[in-house]
Amino acid sequence: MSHYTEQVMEISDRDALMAALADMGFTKDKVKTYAEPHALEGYEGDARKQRAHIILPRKYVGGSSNDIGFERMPDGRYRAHISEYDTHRYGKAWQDQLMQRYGYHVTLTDVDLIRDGYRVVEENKVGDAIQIVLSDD
Amino acid sequence: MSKIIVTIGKNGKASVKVEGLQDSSCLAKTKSLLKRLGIIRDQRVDPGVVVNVDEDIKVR
Repeated sequence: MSHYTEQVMEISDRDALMAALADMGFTKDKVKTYAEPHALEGYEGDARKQRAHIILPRKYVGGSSNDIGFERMPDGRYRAHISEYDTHRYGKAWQDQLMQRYGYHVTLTDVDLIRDGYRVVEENKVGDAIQIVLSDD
Repeated sequence: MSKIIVTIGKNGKASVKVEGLQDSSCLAKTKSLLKRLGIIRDQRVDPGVVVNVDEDIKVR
């Protein structure tokens, strides 16, 4: 049985997380969401003790994989549950890319900025980075 | 006119730069965005600053 590792992520915006996951191939039809945390499934279909509000089912994670979960913590941030087996594919590089896509969607949907007339005037790739320029002009 | 430039690196870390008019409203919104991006929690944002998760606030 592959053990789960936990990673607290600076993610607190559910919609931006869902959009980032979609960018990474986990579109809404490949993600299960729960109001109350739900047990993750191991590769044999066994219920694990780890629970999450947003679950990437193992059949979409990969062959012989376990569910990946994002558990909302009391402070509003999410804790990622990824099995050791799956960290070779969904490790730091994948998590970093998820954070980049998350930041992109957080910026584009910042309601305070949009309400005050800010809009995206430029969007560039700077090396591996994404640069977004917002202006109220 | 205010410009808010958000750069998100491939490591997921973000930095935000404010250009042009930096009134209190613009800075408040920038601070709010920074918090949403998880860059800062309770740090002060002053005119002309660059805030980066890797570094302390520094004046340009």
